[in-house]
Amino acid sequence: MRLLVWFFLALFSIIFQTSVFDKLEIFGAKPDLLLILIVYANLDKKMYKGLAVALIGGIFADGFSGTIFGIQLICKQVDALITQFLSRRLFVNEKFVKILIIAIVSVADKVVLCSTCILLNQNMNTFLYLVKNTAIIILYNVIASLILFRFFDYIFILGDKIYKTCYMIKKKLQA
Amino acid sequence: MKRVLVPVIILCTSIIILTISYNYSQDNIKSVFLNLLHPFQKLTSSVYKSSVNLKRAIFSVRQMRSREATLEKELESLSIEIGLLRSLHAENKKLRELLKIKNKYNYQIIFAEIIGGDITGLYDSVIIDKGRKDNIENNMPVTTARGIVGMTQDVGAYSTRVITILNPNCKLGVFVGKSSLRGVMQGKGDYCIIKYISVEENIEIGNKVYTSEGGGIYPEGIEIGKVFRIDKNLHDIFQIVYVLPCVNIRNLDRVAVIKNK
Repeated sequence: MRLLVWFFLALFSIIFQTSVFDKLEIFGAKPDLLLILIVYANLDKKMYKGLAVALIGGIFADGFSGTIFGIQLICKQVDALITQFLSRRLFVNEKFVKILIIAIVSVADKVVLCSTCILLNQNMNTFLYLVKNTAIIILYNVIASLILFRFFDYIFILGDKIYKTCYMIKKKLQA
Repeated sequence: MKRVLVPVIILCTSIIILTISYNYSQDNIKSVFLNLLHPFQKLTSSVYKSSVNLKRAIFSVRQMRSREATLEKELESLSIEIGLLRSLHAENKKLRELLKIKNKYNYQIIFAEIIGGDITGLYDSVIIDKGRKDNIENNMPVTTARGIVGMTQDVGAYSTRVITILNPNCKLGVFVGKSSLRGVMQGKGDYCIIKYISVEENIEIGNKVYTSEGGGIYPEGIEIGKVFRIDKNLHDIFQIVYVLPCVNIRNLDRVAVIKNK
């Protein structure tokens, strides 16, 4: 049930990222919804769930980007692993720590993406992409994450409530 | 042990997927994704656009009235111009028939709306709402009234990815200004550069750059942009010409795909 919610969250993140968030560009930077979702999924230290969300997100991202299929998959897996590593060593309930993780993962995502492109000899603006708006992207991701983390919390609380109600109804009907 | 093994397995699988897709064509995979997500993307994009339009309409009723008047005048003059062009076209056709010259240009224009961008920001591309069902194929030129935008790349049934001229993978034959100096233009993120023009050739800042028929994709003579910088080193064979596109590619709503009949 929960994995299904994660699946749809990843799907809608990609849809919003490519349509609505594409218009919210400031100085060439836009918030990375999928990255925020992956960090959120990996903050509670459950490795399988976190990696599964990164896998789903990575596949969607690859399908939607113009790059070679598989690049985003690696990036998102690395993002998930970094979040797992940091969340095991830091006190993640603090807002500041969450912000710090988002900032670190944002930079790591860019570095991994650019290095993979260079390794695969992809003819892209890797240096420009890496240097140009990193600070703005970090800032944008941090601000977006403050809102989105609350939104994701709300979605899961609502999902649990719906699931419990359905379960109760089912039990009553069986009785 | 398990904690290390699982990520290693997943990372290895990702690398294997990447290696396989690096060596094989990904057209089919990409078009499946384009087809799957087209309805959602179209819906979100249209909801976003209508909300923006509504906001604009509420705040600028007066401006719209004055704009309407100017547009009406513009429409009138354009209609007259179209009438004149039609008569010229008819005359041109007759003369071609008399001289037995085969018509070189016979294009069909397919208008499309932009419904999405690239998620990475690394790869300059946009997604349009027309696909195979609308007779769109790979490597078709995409343009606006102001100038060239790029070319089609991954074609789905209902949507298509367009790589823009700012993308380093997009290379096209161009000519500069009236002197018709030919070179190859490549995207560089925020601008484009033209290579393979000899240092001895004289190009000035502000010269216009047009598409050339050389590559076989773009029709000749569509405006691309203006020269804003020239790097000339006398020890080199070629000079590098920097071009700023006349179309604001990052802020597009509608485009036209040119199909050669």
